[in-house]
Amino acid sequence: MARAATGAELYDQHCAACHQAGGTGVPGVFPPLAGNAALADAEHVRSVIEKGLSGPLQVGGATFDGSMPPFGAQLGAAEVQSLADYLRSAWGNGFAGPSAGGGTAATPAASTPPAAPSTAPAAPAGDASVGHALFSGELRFRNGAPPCSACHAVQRESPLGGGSMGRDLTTAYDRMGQSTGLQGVLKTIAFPVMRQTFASHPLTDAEIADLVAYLRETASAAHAHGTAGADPARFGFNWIWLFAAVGAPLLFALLLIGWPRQRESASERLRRTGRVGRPRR
Amino acid sequence: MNALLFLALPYAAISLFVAVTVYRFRERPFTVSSLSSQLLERKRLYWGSIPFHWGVVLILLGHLTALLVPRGVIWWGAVPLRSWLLEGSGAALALWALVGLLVLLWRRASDPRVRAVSTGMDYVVLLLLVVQLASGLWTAASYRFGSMWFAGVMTPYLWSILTLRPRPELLVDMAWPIQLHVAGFFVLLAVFPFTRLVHILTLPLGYLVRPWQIVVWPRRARALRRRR
Repeated sequence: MARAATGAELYDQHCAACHQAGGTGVPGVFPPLAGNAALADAEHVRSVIEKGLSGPLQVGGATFDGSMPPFGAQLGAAEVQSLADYLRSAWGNGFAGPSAGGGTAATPAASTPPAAPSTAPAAPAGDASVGHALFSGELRFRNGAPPCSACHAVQRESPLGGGSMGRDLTTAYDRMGQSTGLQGVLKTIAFPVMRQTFASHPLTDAEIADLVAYLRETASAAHAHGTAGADPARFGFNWIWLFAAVGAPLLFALLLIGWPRQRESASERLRRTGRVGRPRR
Repeated sequence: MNALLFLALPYAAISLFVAVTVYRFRERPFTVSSLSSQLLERKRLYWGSIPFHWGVVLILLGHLTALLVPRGVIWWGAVPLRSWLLEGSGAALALWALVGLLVLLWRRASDPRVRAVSTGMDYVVLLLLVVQLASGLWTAASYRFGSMWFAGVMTPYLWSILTLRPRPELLVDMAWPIQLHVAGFFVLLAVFPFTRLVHILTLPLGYLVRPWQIVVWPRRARALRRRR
């Protein structure tokens, strides 16, 4: 059980961004892992985690055309194993038997092609400074999509932190499979919330290249400063509450200006003293 | 569920808002008022009504700005510090309004004279507004930067509703506090004509454009004072 917990943590850390917390995946791009027959093959699962997998591929009759980076360099063999065990038993997946520890019964998964070594298309060279302008919103996306910074933060973009609806993107470059993966992710945007908005406002190839260049820069800067693994919450002390906690009392204090004018009314005086005229001195 | 909350509810709310408001103005014109209770209790009203009204009006103007000039709002947010200033000011106003609203609720529930003239709908309105302000404040704090993504998601959504080409799917992935805030707005719109909220329509904007008037006193005030 301790092993399964480790697998769950690894999943949250490395997989959930694309395959989603419940293993549901994202239609068209990231296949579901819950109920995915290909997970029956333990060797295949380990191989995909280590070497990555690029689409298009078929799962449950639907086509997915995404790009998953190899995780072999980041995860040790034991971690790959516990992650694979977790995937094969989580969300009602009944593939991990009691002896699931050691690469057991390999049922060939007919529905999934074998992991193809991802052949990266020649990436157009992006301009990181243009990417930064697009990220922040200084430059508008040609098709009218809102800027990344509306929902996402990047370290050192602002000392107070940034958007918090979406994930911190400081190291998205590593997380999403570097240039190839990130290009794929941005070409067909399929994350929750974004998929609805960006369906009608796709990014152009040049914009994607610029954004990838910018995110490569932020990731390497974070590595250089040793902040890559930093919890985004470290930068995310929620200044909004401080603004509110300071601002609201100040506004109440402002009301004191008008308070002396709220003197006792004639009716109040009448009720208190029983007479209409001003009280005699 | 999504279609119910963000397709059926908006149109039901807008229909009620328009039809019943017109009916009330035509058939019950003298009920279009908030039925002020200022004569009954003034002190707590001062600390509740002024924060609530100023806070809410300014925040609503912010929402309206993002609805009408989304590009301007995104331009403003291109510098993160400016986003923080905008969102922080909004949050301060929201908390100010929320505390004021709670003062109003406390006043209405505890002052016997005010309670005597209160209707059930007065409490309904107050409670709906508490939900609305709390969910809005929570959204601003937890799902930054609302001003920016409002322009990217909510502005297209609201225009899609208003132009009869609804796109409720824009809200399907939103976190529940945000969905609550949006649905809460439509609920407020729906109850609007049945409650004291109608007094919003009595805002005397006509004063801004009416011809000026000369006020002539029968006696000059200074002369009057000297004689006394």
